Amino acid sequence: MNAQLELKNLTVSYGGKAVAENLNGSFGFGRLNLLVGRAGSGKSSLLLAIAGFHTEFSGQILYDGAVFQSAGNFSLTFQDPESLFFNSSVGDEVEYSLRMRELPESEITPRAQQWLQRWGLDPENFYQRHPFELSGGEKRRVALAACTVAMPPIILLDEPLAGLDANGQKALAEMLNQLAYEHIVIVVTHEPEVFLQSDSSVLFLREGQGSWFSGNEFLRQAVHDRDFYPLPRWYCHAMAPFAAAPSLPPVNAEAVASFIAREKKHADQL
Amino acid sequence: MQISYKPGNSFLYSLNPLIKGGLCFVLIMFFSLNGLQLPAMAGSLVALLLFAALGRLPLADLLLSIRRIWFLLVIVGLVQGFRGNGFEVVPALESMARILGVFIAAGCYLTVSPQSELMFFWETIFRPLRLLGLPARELALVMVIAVRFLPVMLSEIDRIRMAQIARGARLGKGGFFSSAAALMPLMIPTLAQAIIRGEELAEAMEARGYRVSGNRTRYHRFGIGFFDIPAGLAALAVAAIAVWSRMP
Repeated sequence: MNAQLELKNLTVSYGGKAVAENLNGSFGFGRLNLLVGRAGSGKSSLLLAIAGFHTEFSGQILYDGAVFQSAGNFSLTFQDPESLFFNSSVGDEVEYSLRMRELPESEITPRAQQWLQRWGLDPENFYQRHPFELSGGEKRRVALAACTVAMPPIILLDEPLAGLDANGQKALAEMLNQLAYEHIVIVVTHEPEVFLQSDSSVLFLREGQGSWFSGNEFLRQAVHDRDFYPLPRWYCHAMAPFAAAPSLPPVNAEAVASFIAREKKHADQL
Repeated sequence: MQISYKPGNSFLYSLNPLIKGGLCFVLIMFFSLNGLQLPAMAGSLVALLLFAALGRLPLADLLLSIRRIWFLLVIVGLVQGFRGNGFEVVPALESMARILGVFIAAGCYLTVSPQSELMFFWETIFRPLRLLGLPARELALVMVIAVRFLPVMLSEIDRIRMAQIARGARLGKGGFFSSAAALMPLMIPTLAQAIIRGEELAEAMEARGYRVSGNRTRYHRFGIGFFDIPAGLAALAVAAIAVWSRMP
């Protein structure tokens, strides 16, 4: 997939005031695209502008070279996506989006079941259950499955990790990483460390300006300068001696431990 | 843009909460019940906005917040417009002006009234109910919480609406029954959220020591100030115009 979602001279305003100015760059397939910044930096407004719900912007949003027509081409979830549930079974909830797009009746259930499976929920166990019976992590996965089942090219998520425990966050981040191979996944987050891989793309909004980084560049800068972005202290501390390494590991304890072991072995060999 | 209390120091802010509430009530009744023609209604709306501007209220925020009720305005306009033979513009615009007037008057009131004043107003209004053995203070609290949560719920509805549209929902499309059914993806989650929020608020208030009891003191005390008398007279004048416009 080579198509990209491109921002061209995009300035997003809110209440007449520009919150993110002159953004140029692109979101692509094959990696998570993170939108990071402090509260009020314009992350959510930019997300809504891409979705077509926020119209206070100038410049262009292009998909595959043409102006992005949002209708039917994106899914959007906010914090707490399980608040969208209105059906009495998980199956109905996931099927809803397909019914609204008027898919043939014979295709709806198999496709919904297959998609649920993809999100790690066995249809045998979950399909007939009431969404409110599920655990927090399961609810979140059902909600995200229900929002993305129509497989639009663009998936927009506003703080999808909010309210999940560490294991739930990690599992969800892995699923979204997988999803990024088939969709352009754009995630607004205050916890980039859970998602950051060296090949992630980061659009960092600060003081009205947007800067683009690879995950590796972002990690490196945040490790050097805590005022730039506050990554967890333990990560910055562990990474400080390895600032010259070609790429830093993602922010999780296992990856950091194996990275340090590898770097030490390499140093011993030298 | 949410309508909620925004600190300020104009004459509107300094009014006694009873006068403020009374003035708002009269304005709401005026826009709901008056028998004025469209030009006079439009003039009343402009006068209300001028009044708000004089009181140094954030007019831009108030006007932007009208976006939240555009759907209601359109529905009311259509229903009223089609009441006669074919579509008539004047009754449609008149009914929309009424809704706008009520919305702006209530918006001004909420912008200049902190929670303590709202509570004081509702408590005073409900005081006679104590004679019937009803819990006036608790009823007042229910009213204040309902009013305070309105902007939160509106923004919640907006979020749910956008997310459901992204899922393919066609909210409010089709005939009466089919459009009511199509609104389910909006209505059920909104109701569920309201119940969840209510429960959380009740727990939070109990955790902070709130109990149903008549033995509570008042932190804020409100007197009659310089602008209260002219404001009270203005309220009487507005009420008189509404009654006069309805006279045969």
